[in-house]
Amino acid sequence: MLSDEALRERLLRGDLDAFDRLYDRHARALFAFIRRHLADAHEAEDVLHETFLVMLRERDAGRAAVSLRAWLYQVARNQCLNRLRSRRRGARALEAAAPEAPTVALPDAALLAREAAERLRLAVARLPTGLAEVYTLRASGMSYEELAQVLAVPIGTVKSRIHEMVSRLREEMKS
Amino acid sequence: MSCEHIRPELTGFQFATLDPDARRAVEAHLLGCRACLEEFLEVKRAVEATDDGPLPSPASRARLRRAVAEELRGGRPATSWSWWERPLALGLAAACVTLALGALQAVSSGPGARPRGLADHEVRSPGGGHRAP
Repeated sequence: MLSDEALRERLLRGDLDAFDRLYDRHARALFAFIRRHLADAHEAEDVLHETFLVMLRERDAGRAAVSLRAWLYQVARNQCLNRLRSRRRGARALEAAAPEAPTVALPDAALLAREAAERLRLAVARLPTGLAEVYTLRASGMSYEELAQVLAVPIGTVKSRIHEMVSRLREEMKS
Repeated sequence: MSCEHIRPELTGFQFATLDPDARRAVEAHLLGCRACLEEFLEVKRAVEATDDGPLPSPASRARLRRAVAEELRGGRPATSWSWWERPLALGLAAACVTLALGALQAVSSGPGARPRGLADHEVRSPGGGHRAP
């Protein structure tokens, strides 16, 4: 399987199939990440578009990044924050999207297990935006180094945010 | 450790934030407790399903594909030099500067050239007086 970076080079040489493959590989998760910041689906689509186009326009910056995936998330995140700043409103899409409380589970092992997963989903929905994005990025399999690039913070800060995120989830799931 | 102690640690276990002792305790417990193992697997599935949101619409994808094709057709030039262009451009610029300096030197030191730094009114006439402006 071709790496992201190899596909990017093909795309920059004009291969639109490479775009299709990059899109198939990253669009869904990237879109979910953007929606953590921007509740409006159309606005999130605009940011997704702009993110892919920045990859074509800022070739050297993309090539210098540790990983293309982390760089795409970094670009998307910056665009989301710029939009939020310009409108002076906080993104609380997760809170708005919190599903209803689960029904009481029967004392069966499988049901208890499913209830735990549901409690986790609810707890994630209650995380503040900063920790929710850490959750999303880490859950998508990003390394600490990639997270540091996306969030533009040192690795030590990444570790402390992940610990904070897990502590919040732990407390939320208990309550 | 009991199930009540293990269950709150499952998320930390998934995100690898537990200290080594706690991690070993969870691992040992999961090996012997089917209920907690199932719960952990559900938590793990929930975490890994985080990206399973909706895709942007097909129309949006088609629009982006057209914009990408447009961009690739030369909407914008490359933002920087290629690796092989950079030394070539620097060499060319240096050669131009050297040639220009050489030409200037030749003109300023040729026969009949005016001494540097003197304005017209400071240049004396052959008779010893000042040349009329």
